[in-house]
Amino acid sequence: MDLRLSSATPSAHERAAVDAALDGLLGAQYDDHFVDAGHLARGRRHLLLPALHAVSDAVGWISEGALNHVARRLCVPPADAYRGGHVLCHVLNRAAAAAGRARL
Amino acid sequence: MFGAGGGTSAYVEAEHADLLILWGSNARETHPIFFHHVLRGLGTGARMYSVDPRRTSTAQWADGWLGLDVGTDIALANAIGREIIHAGLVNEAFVRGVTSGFEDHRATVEPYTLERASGITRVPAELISELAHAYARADRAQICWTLGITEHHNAADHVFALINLALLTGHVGRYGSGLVPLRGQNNVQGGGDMGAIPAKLPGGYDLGDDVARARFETGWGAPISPTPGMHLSQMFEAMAPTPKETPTGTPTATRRLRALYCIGENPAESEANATHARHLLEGLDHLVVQDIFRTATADTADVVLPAAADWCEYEGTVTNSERRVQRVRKAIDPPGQARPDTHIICAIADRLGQSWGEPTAEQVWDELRSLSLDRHHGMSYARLVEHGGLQWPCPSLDHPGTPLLHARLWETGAARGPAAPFTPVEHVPPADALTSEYPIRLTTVRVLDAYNSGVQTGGYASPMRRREAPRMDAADAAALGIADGDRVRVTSRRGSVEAPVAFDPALRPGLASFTPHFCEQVDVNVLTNDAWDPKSGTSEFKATAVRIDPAATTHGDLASAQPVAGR
Repeated sequence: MDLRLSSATPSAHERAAVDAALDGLLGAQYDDHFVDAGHLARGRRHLLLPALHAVSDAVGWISEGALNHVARRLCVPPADAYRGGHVLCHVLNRAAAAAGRARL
Repeated sequence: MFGAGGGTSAYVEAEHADLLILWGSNARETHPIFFHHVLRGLGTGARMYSVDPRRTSTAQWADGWLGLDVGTDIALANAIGREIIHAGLVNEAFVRGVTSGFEDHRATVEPYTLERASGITRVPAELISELAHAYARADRAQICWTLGITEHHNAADHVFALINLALLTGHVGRYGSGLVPLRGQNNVQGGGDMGAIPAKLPGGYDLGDDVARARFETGWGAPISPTPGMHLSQMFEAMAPTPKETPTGTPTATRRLRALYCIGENPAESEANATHARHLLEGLDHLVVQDIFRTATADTADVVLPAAADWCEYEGTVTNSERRVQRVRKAIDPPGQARPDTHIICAIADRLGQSWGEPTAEQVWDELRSLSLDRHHGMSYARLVEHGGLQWPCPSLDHPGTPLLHARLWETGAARGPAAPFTPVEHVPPADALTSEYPIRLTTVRVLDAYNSGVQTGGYASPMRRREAPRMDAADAAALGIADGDRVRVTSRRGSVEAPVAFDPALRPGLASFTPHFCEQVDVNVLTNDAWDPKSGTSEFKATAVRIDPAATTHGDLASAQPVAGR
């Protein structure tokens, strides 16, 4: 997959949240040199949800750097991850509003 | 391969293969048209492996990445071959009926166990085994390669190692199965087909082919020596003074090559060990450069002949990596005094007492067709237009061209033709050895929006363009006290350059890279090794041993600023 990432980097807190959510699901720890690719990686976009959820839970929003890290770990173009993040935020906002909590 | 200097398969076959191995090829950037076919194949379920020291943008699409050490490809291929043999996955009927030399090949690969190959290549043994089984079990599988295979001091042996794998498994000569050399430039295939290879006549005939040579002698009205001329690396060796004793005993020096007519080539920047190459060019008695821009080589010339950019300012043909000849059409007039290459060459011939006139591009092509009877005779301009290009061999005007080469290997009886030979080859490490003084392996790489030494691509802007920089692993840099963007000095056994460094996660520890595209920023080939392959003449651009240090100075590049065309 072609990944054109911006120079934004995740904070240590954001990185830890994403890795904690994905290490178990992917069965591997993150290594800058060995990002997954291929059919297997392209077949698990559904893991965007737990990854973005983890960031949102940890820091309350999804920064560009966090989005880049999620995109890189899951081999998903950041534009697609952003679209997923947008949908997720929308769902979480609605859920939060329904529960009478603060909006994201 | 097997007597034909061209790939076996049409690009479209990549869409229908089960398995693609891109070996020493970042086709995602350097062959974007071919890679569109790869993407279609991946979209319908094809699996892809990338064999490359760097985790390239091609590897980012791969199901498996074999990140081998530079120059260990033969050890890897031999281990894959051994694993195929030991797993009982050899296509026995194909090997028995079509090939020769299998037993020698088996004996050669036998010592290349998975463990030994893993030690040489640093690719995990299980990954080598996985690729061996995937390749041997696939119904249709291709091996595609680019300069990562052919820019080594033993380049031809690298190619033989890959061919051996195809012969073991029968992945050649069938639709979807093949050997695909993706050429280093857009018309390398065409240049070779037109006689730019010293041992070949136009049309791919050997100089030693008496029948073919006699036909060309008749057509051209001149004798042709059956002895091959010099290729580029031999020419540069011949430019060097050779000590010689005179009859009086006084030592002197002679040069076997003292005059050079250089057409569309910029060796002052593109030759390996460029400082040495420039010294040799400056020592020539006479240098003529014919090019579309004032290149660094033109800057040292006695005569510069301004040429048209034939791809848009004149007519002609181009032949791509699937052997497809296509028409090139004039879109604009050349500027100033620039003239088409053929017109300049013919005008020189006229001044030398010949009478070549000023033939049109189609007349030149038709002459070629009248002599290249097997490959090009059926490719009239009208047919090239009608069919959107034709793939050689195309021997007659009713021939449809040949998308799939060597299908004969699957015929029976006499139609099968001569046997396809295994060529046993051994791993030999790069000539420029890593030592404690030069511990980092530098490899040259290419990017999507630039071309060779930048003559043709330096003149326009690109949103992807970046400043040229040595790229290296962040951990390596940290150990040297270097931060991203710091100015560093890169030193090889031949020279040194300075530039700001860039970290690149595609590079593992111990590996660094440069592009050759921006010589005015970083004179990369001052570093590279001019050790060359005796079989192909190619220099070992891919494997240079270097040391990287923080730069002591903060002023401009130490490398002399070369004039760069188009900028």
